[in-house]
Amino acid sequence: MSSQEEVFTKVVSLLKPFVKNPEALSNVTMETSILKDLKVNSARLVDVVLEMEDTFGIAVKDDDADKVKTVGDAVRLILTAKA
Amino acid sequence: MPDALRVGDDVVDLDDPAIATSRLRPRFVERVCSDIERASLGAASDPKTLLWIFFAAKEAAYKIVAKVGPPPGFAHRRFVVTPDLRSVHYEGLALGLRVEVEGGCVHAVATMGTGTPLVGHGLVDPGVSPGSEARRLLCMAVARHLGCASERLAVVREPAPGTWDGFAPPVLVRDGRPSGVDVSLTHDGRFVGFAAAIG
Repeated sequence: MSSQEEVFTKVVSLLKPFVKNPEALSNVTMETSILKDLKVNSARLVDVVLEMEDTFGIAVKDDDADKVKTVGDAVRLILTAKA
Repeated sequence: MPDALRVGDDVVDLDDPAIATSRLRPRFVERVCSDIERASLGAASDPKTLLWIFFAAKEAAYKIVAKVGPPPGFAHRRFVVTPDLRSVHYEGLALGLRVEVEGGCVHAVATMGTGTPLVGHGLVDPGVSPGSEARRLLCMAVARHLGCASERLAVVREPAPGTWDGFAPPVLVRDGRPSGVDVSLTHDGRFVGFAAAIG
């Protein structure tokens, strides 16, 4: 079982290669918007979802991926999938 | 009376390092492309460019679908680009498609309704806000078409909680009032683009 903190750290790490605004990563919180604050575009968002699947061994449905707006949304989705 | 023209557009910078390896990942292609599109990629002489044409076309069509109904969500595969690259189909809707590939950039423009849109794309200088540059190019092109000063035109986006970036689609205003001209803006990497439902 992964803690929220562990998942959060891994999510921030997997986002790094796709972030256009690396400075925003230094202040990232659960409320940080992946698209607006980190400036991850839609093509990169597909890669982010694939990285989430690979890193955590989960399958993310399209409908669930659509709900991921913030880092916290990604963390909660992963925790739910692994519960 | 013909249906009012609506537009959606998307640019992709083909040399953006962040997408350089995406085409190598079969799961990326499976997530984004329909069976027909995957077959086209398998037979293509330049599958990288074709993949990003498909992607840009789907994003462009998404923008129109989100304007006329509930946002379709994370559903690239449900938007199907025809092999001739002339249309995009989504759940019974058939949207027109125009694609330009030039200088390392794909610019896809989807249309719904009657008419030919005013479109353009270009490079953005380093240090310049791509969003601002896309707005500037759009306003200049529309002003030329209408024969008015570009300063009379502006693009506004109202807050819309729950949407992908928290804002509603862009609206072109003239002298501070909605112009009634449907528009779309896009930027990626070194490129910006626009489409306006004039024509």
